Amino acid sequence: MSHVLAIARREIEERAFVFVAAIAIALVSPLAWLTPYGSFADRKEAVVILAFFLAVAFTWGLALILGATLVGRELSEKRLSFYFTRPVSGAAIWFGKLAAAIALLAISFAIVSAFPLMAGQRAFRVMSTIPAPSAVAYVLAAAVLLTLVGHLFSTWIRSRSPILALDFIAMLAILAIVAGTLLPLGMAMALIPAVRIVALLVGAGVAAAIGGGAWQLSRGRIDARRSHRALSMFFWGLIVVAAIVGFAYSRWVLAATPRELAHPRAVQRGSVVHIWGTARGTEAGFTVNPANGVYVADRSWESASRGNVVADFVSSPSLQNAFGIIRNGPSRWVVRVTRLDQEPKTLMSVEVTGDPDAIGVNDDGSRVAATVDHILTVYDTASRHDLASVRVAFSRAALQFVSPNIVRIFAPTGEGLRVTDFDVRTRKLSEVTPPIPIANQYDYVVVGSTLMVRNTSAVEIRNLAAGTVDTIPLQKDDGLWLMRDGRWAIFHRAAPATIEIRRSGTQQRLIRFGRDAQGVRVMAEIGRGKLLVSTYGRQRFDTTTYIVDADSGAMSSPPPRATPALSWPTGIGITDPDVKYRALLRYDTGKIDAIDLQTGAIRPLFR
Amino acid sequence: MSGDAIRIDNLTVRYGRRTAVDGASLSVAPGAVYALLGRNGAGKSSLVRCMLGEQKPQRGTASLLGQDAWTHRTSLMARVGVVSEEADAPPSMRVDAIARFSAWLYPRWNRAAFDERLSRFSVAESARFGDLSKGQKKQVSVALALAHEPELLVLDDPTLGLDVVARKSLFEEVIADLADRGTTVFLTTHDLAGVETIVDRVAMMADGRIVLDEELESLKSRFRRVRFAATRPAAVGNLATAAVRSWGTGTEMIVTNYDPASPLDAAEVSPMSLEEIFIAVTGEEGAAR
Repeated sequence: MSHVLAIARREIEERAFVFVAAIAIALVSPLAWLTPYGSFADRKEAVVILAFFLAVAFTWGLALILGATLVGRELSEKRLSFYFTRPVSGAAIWFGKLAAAIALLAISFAIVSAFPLMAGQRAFRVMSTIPAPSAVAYVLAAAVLLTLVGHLFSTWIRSRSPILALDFIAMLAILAIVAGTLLPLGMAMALIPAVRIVALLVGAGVAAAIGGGAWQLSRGRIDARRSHRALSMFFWGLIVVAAIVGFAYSRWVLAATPRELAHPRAVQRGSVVHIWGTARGTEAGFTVNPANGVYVADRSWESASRGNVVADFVSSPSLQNAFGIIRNGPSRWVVRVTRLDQEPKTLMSVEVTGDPDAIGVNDDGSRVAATVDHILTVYDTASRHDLASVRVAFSRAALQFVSPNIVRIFAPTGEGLRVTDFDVRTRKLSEVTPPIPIANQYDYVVVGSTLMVRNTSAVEIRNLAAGTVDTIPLQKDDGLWLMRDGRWAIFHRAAPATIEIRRSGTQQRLIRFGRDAQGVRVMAEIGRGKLLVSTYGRQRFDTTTYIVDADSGAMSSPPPRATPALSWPTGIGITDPDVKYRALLRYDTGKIDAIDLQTGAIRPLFR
Repeated sequence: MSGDAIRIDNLTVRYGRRTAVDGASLSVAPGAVYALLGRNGAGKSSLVRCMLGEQKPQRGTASLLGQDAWTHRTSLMARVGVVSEEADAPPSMRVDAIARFSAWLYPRWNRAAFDERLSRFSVAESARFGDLSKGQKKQVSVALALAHEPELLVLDDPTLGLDVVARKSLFEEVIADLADRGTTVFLTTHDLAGVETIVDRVAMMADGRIVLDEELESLKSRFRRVRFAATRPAAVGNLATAAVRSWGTGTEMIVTNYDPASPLDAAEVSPMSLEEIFIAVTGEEGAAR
């Protein structure tokens, strides 16, 4: 230790002229006081700001110069023998020099900035949102970093060794590993793990540069090339280890499975469930087939499903979407069509430019329609080619394949819900019905040829194939579920919680729930005539789930602390024969179950 | 380990494809004054750097005072004084600051001896090292190297660039100190006349190899310049010659195995200086090894 201090003291003595330069710079900022402009406070502020910026610029400039001359200059001028012919170790030489550099930086920074900063704390607070001590710590930390960077490059360049080419290759390799590590995390919006990895790499870089300096002088001593080699091996060795650890960590994070989600949340869109939550220390999202638990990672923006096929918009695997590095310009998305059978299989993945609006997929997944920036495009999944495009006026819509060549568009507009068919062969749009009055843009549901639309006072059930229309008056707090056999279940979403079963407008049964229930909502139909319902208490999320027999009014309860995953709209619904399962969120276990909509059997979604 | 002050075994140093030291071996007994001689680029400095643990050889070992020079450099340097070929102290440092710095590093530091030598050399302590003349820098280096009373003194071409007076002063300083304490001295030099009176043993390097390693006395006794009146002397016998050239109407030979007990029928037999022997050994002919 005494050798380190002796060397540090010697180095400081040799570079004491730095303090003279710092004093000269410190005298510059008070000159701002002499400007004839502004008030007393303004000029004080100007002095503080100028002093701080001068101090930062001087300290960082000095850091680079110190780094470049710390060892490299004596090494190239063959003056390191002065130390090596004395009883001091290479490590002591390095740490003595580094300690001297840090002391020079800290003292110089203090000389230039101390007085104005102390005199103008208030002005500093105006200038910076971070407290002065933190700002000083950041500036000095950056200065030490610059010193180490200066030392690295000085050693590498001054040695004139061909190893420099290997350094360059190593740097490119590391950058490639880091890009391969961070970009997927960015695309998965796993920012916390990304920050951890960056911290690991920076920490490893600092440790590698500090340790490398000691190793360089211990192993390379006065030989510039050996010194270079020793530094490079230590530095890149540690960086590679850190990069590999970071890479492995990112792979581990990205390999999170939905069964690892802690207290997941979920929504159901058609036959698939989107679940998300925290797994392996970061946000993770999945699109899951509740029939078999098969999933694909990536929380989707918008999706449509038919049986085992799901079409969705997911973030494009581009730099632009990673961490929002490039904030200007349109975001980039991918239209993805995936089969969620025994194994997930991506049928199509096409990047689109612009914000996605709507998506639809046909029964076998051979066609997908997507609307991006008011352009509706129909793709052939197998060839990934677009078959036809058309400009449309709507932004939000539902897209339904009536046949492989007819896409039906349900677009809520100011005039009401517009239903339009797009013919892929003729590339023509044709109106199916006149605009249907609608309460708000989400208040419609389509299953097959049945369209249910809610307006301010009624629900209209329209058979688009037959052209028939039923209109059911409905109170504001009431909702309506169209059952498989054509019965209506009108549920009261306020107290008292009741469900009224009607056939052809005639009440068949009125089912009442307990006093605690402040409302009820039908979520799905199980088998024929059994309703999966949720009641909620005074707290909106205090829900209880029941299976209610519409014929007898009998109620049975699935696991008490479970609630079905939401789907939209929540006030109206139609039993969809294509939807075989409904996801149940278990509040007691924090897991997700799936309830079979044929039998009512409940099983864990992931085993 | 042997009792040698310095031992070098099969040492090889390469710089890329160039071999600077090629399998060199030597040993120096404690208390001896040993001179390593060689032309520029012969490999002396590389060998000295390895010997001081500043550079790792590609092959072979160097040990000082019974310890490996590479692995024990730090502790060894407390027992070794070094005068480098180039004065390497920072130019901006004042002489007294260098002395103060050195005093922190050495457990045995004799400030009085340092000051005394400095005054003998007439070097001001307040002078900046970079402002000193070449000779003064060497003198300061010698004073620094001796101030911690080393067991071994290594001087790498200490007279390089010095004038005659400075050279004489330097060797007298070394000799005086040796007389006082019996320190082992290893030096490399081109000043053969200067060291001829002080060294016990010499080694000569050529092309990275030790081509000769012998007691000075023995070396000087076997080398002779022999001149014959005849162009083709008849009775050469078993004489080994380093060089043969014409001398007027006769012949001059450099004999490397002269034996005073076997007189030659020669016109003239004269002893040779170390410088002449060095030229005969490492010169253009370079055959007398």
